[in-house]
Amino acid sequence: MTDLSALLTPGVLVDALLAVALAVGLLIRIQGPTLDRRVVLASLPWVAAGAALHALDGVVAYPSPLSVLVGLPWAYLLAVTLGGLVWLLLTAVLDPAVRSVRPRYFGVTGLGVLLALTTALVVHHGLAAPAFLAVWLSAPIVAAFVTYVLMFGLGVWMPDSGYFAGSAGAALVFALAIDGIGTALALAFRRVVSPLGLPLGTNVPPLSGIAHPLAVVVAIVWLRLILAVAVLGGLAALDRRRPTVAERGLELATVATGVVAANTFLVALGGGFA
Amino acid sequence: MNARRAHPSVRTTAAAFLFGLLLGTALVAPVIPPFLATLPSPTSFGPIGTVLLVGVLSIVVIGGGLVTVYFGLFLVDDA
Repeated sequence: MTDLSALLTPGVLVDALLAVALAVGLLIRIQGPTLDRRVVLASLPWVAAGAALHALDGVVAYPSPLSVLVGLPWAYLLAVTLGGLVWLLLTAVLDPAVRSVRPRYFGVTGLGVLLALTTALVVHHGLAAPAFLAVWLSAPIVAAFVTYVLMFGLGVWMPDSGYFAGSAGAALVFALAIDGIGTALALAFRRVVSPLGLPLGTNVPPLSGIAHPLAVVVAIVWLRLILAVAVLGGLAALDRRRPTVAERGLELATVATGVVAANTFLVALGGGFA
Repeated sequence: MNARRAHPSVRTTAAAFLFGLLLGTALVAPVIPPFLATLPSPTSFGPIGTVLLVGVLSIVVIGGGLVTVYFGLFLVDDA
C-alpha cells in the first residue's frame, strides 16, 4: 500500500490549491456576481486572513508539506480560495430573496477567520512580550482615530470627495494609515521591510540614531495620508465625468491598499521586533 | 446607494461569524501543539500575574473582536 503522506508533497499541494482556486473562480464567474463596493469591502478580511496566516507561520512553523501553503504567495491564494468557497456556499444556501445581503454574511465569515488567526498572534505576543503587544495593538486604534479625523475633515472641506469616498474611502484611508504605522514601527525597531511588506532582515543601523521613532512614525503616516487625500480627491474629480471608471478605480485602490497594509502590518509586526 | 436591500438576519450573521471562527481555528489547528510548546509557562508569572494576564488578554481578544466585527459590518452595510 502506498503511503499517503509520501504523496502529499509541497508541489502536489500547490497544484491542488491552484486547481481548486481555478474551479472556484470559474464557478463564481459563471454566477456573474455584481461587483460593487460592498463585495470589495467584504473581501478585505479574507485578504487580511492570508497575511495573518503567513504571519502565524513566522511565529510557529507549520509542519513540512503544509508550510508551502502558508508561504508567499500561496497563503493569499489559500485565503481567497476559501473565501470563494464560502461565497459559493452562501449562494447555495441563501434564499434568492435575501441574496442582496450576501456580502454582509461573506464579510462577517471572513472576520471570523481573521479573528481566529489573529487571536493566536495576540496570545503568543501577550505571553511572550506584553509590551510588544501593547505597541502592536495601539496601531489599529491610532489608525482608526486618524481615519475618523481625516474623513471628517474631507466631508467638511471637500464634501463632494467625502460623499464619493464613503466607507470604501474610509477603508482606504485606514489601510494606508495602518500601513504607514506598521512600516514606521518596523523601521523604528530596526526591522527592514520591502515595499511589499516582506521582512528583509534585522541587521540595519538603528533609526533611533537618526531620528526619534515617533518622528519616523509621524512622517511616514503623514505621507500616506497625503497620498490618500490625493487619490480620493482625484477619483472624486474623475467621478463627475466618468463615474464608472472612478468607481472601479476606488474599488481597485481599496483592495490594493488592503493587501499591502495587511501584509505590512501583520507580517512585519507579527514577526516581532526582535 | 443601493435602492432596495433585504433586511439582514442577526441569527444568520452570528452563524456566519461562528462558521468563520471554526474555519480559522481549522487553519490554526496544525500548529496548535508546537504553538502551545512555545508559550511560557503560566506559573512563571505567579498566580496574580497569570490571572491578570489572562484577564487582559481575554478583554483584548473579545473586546477587539467585537469592535472589529461592529465596524466591519458598519462599513459593509453603509457602502
